[in-house]
Amino acid sequence: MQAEERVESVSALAELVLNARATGTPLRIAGAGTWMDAGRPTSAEQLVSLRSLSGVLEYVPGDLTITALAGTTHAELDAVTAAEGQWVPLDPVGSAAGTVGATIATGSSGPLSALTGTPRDVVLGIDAVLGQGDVISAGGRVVKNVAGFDLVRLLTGSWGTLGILTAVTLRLRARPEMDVTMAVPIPDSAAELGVFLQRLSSLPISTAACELVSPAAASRMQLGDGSVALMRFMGSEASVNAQLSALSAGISGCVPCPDDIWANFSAGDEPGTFAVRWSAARAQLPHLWQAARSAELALGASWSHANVARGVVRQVAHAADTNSLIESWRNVSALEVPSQSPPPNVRFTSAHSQLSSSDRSRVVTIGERMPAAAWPVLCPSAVNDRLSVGVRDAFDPQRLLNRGILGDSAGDSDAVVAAATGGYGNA
Amino acid sequence: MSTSVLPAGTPAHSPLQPAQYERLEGELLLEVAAALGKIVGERWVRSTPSALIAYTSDALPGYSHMPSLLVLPGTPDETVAVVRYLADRKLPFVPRGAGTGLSGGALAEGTVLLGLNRLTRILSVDVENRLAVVEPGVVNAVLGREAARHGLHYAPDPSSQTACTIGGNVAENAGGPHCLKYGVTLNHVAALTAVLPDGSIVQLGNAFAECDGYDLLGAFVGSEGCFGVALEVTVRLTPNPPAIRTLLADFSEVNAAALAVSRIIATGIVPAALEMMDAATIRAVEESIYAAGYPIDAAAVVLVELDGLEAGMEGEVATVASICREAGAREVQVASDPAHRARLWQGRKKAFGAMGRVAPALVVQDAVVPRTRLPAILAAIHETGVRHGVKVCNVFHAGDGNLHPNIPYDATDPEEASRVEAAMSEIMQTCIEAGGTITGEHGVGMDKMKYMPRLFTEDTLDAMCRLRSVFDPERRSNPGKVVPVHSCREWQSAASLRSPRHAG
Repeated sequence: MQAEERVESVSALAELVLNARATGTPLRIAGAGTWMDAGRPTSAEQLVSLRSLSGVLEYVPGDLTITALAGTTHAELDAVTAAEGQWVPLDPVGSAAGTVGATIATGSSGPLSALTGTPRDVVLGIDAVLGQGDVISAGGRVVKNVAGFDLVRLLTGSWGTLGILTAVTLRLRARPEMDVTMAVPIPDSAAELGVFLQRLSSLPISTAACELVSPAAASRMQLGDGSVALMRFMGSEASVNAQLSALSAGISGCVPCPDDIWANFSAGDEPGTFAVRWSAARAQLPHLWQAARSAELALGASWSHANVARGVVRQVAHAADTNSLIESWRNVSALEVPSQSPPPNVRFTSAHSQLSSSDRSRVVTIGERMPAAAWPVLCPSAVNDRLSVGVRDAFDPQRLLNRGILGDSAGDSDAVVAAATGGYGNA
Repeated sequence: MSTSVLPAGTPAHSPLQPAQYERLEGELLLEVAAALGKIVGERWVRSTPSALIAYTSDALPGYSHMPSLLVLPGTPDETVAVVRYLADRKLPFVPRGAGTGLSGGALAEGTVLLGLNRLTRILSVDVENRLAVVEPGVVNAVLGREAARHGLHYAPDPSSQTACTIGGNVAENAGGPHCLKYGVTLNHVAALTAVLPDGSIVQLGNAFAECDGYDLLGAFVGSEGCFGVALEVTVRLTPNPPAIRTLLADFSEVNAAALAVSRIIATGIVPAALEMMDAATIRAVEESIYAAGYPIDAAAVVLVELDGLEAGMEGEVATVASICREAGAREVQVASDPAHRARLWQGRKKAFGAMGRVAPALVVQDAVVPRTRLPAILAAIHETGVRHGVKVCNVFHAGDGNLHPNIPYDATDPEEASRVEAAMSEIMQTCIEAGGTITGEHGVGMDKMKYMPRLFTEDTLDAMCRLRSVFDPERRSNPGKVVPVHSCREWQSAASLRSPRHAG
């Protein structure tokens, strides 16, 4: 087992990968190393850290774009852009000590994705070293670009399995004049929550984030004993004040939140916890929330939150007993929302149609940090289909990069858990 | 009759006819025409030059290529059957929508043209989840009208929207003026079902939930027909904004207009659209049937559209108007009724069509530059035009730096044509050197392949080729487009490189 290798340049990284290729050494890629327990167990013999590959390469505030080396932390990017009255529209799980490369590689997103989209919508260009040591520069520095086949989209969210990101170009946004968050209590039952959300969507408001938060987290943020909705408003003073008035007029019980509410929110992801995400059709969010809350109560030490705009519920849990964790989470994943009769405006569906009612009621489970035994049960791998295997073969044929992290069959997680002792797995 | 692969090293007949494939003609052509006729019905197969002449170009006047055969399936099942037949016979094909493309992407030379524009059904609309499932031949504006019935709209609005198809939009990852705020086609496609060139059917993306794994949908959208054929596309529909304001500012100097654009963007206001047209374009429009009442003595006009909640709208309008005036606008009109708004847009939407009055041929470019470089780039483009003695008409999506410098000319005059070619190459180089890209929405197709090596390194181009080979290992779907053939190194099969797998 070799020591951690901290690369200082792209050429050093390319050489490292070429050596790994020659010796067949599987690598584990790390940024700041703050989220190493995420993803499936990997098997690797060498840890490669990009933390020293850090710094802003190009920043033209008037263009609202920035290019930075992958090892640059969010804290550094926030400081640089704030000085120009701008911000990076990424809201990853974890703290500002994490690197932008890791955020793009994992595609991690949070409450603000309701406004900004996910990392795939934010990244404009990626430089990377691929699995055979080839160095590529995909995309570009401008906000609109369809030149060539889209390697940027493919690399984003690929968890380092197709290439090691060395630099990224991102869109930026201007800091709003006003940035205010309100909290309001919400019911947990699907029916009542559905009514509440309908009410909310009928108001003349446009939230930058609308996040449901369960009682454990709400009380930690001193927002009472029940679930709450956190609603973030960003914009001009005139716009935000008008929206706040409309909100108070339309929904009772709204209270303003302190400025650090969102830092407090992300502090709920403690070390040693497990985390999972469920998503389904947006209209089903109330049912998903209700099911997640039941799982939460069964597990005890946990909390849930939901991104209303994206229809995603996330749960974070301590669990000494991983079997009951898997059981509770499996119940949510298996949720079948009673299928509504087809909407009146459906004309007809063909055999291939995407909008079948079974799709509508299916819950997709995406793992973040889970016990090794949970992965095959809750999250069958999504990269063992023909096209995904082909893509992996094209970019990392020897499976040197983060082998197993996505459940690719060359790194079958069950086998890896049994075989990998002392390697850079999810310690 | 054999369909054998020609020996490696055989020179290509043309960039569109890669060395591997024979021209489809003679006995083989008759055989294929008959077989396809059995699948789609004889009248939906065309193989005579007189029937095919309408398909020898797309919307770019400079290119003309004659396909051997046109096949028009009427349903997704027929489409799959056609693709499978072509796979069995190892025949290349070119998918084509409405033929409104501006990069020569839907042209075929001696091969099969697969027309998707009979697949025009809107299969379903889910208002609650704001999704619609459509076949690839549905016209963009037709989808828009259907969405309007439910108080929604389909955001990507290329200028050709009254004719172009969703399938074509998907292939090019089309934009349009409103993509500045709302995003491009990829941001509005939730899922799609496609038939790969080998005949297998895949579902990419997920209409209802997050997707785990690689973004294969993101790779497919914008792949210009080189990865396969979309059979059904699930698109996202967008709620109509409660308030819309459209402004038209006119300037006596192009530089002033470009400056206004940069400043608007720098404030952080995200207009729904921010368009610009120069004097040459304005005059072309005003002299045509599309006359919109733009001031013909203006050096440039800037069209700004703001949308969103009513609250705060007046403030944004005031900010934008004052930026324009401070930059030197002579007049700023604000439309607040739909008729006036439509008039302001008409000139912009019909600009391209109006060029047809100026000269029979038109070269169109689609470069993107960083917005802060707009004033300098526009000046450089003007200077290039003057130096080569050609007239450049600029109409473009100023808000995202997506330029369309168009040059109307007489293609039958070889001397003028070569000056135009030189000017265009120089303009493209200027844009690349400014940190831009060669295409913002029209795609590379055939027309811009020559610029790809200026923009991307060899390793990057090779990675693109390898990606393409995953979807189309035999390179039969729209061959000879996007990436120059010589940029694709052979790559060894994965099996020989992969190390032994873990046991179990």
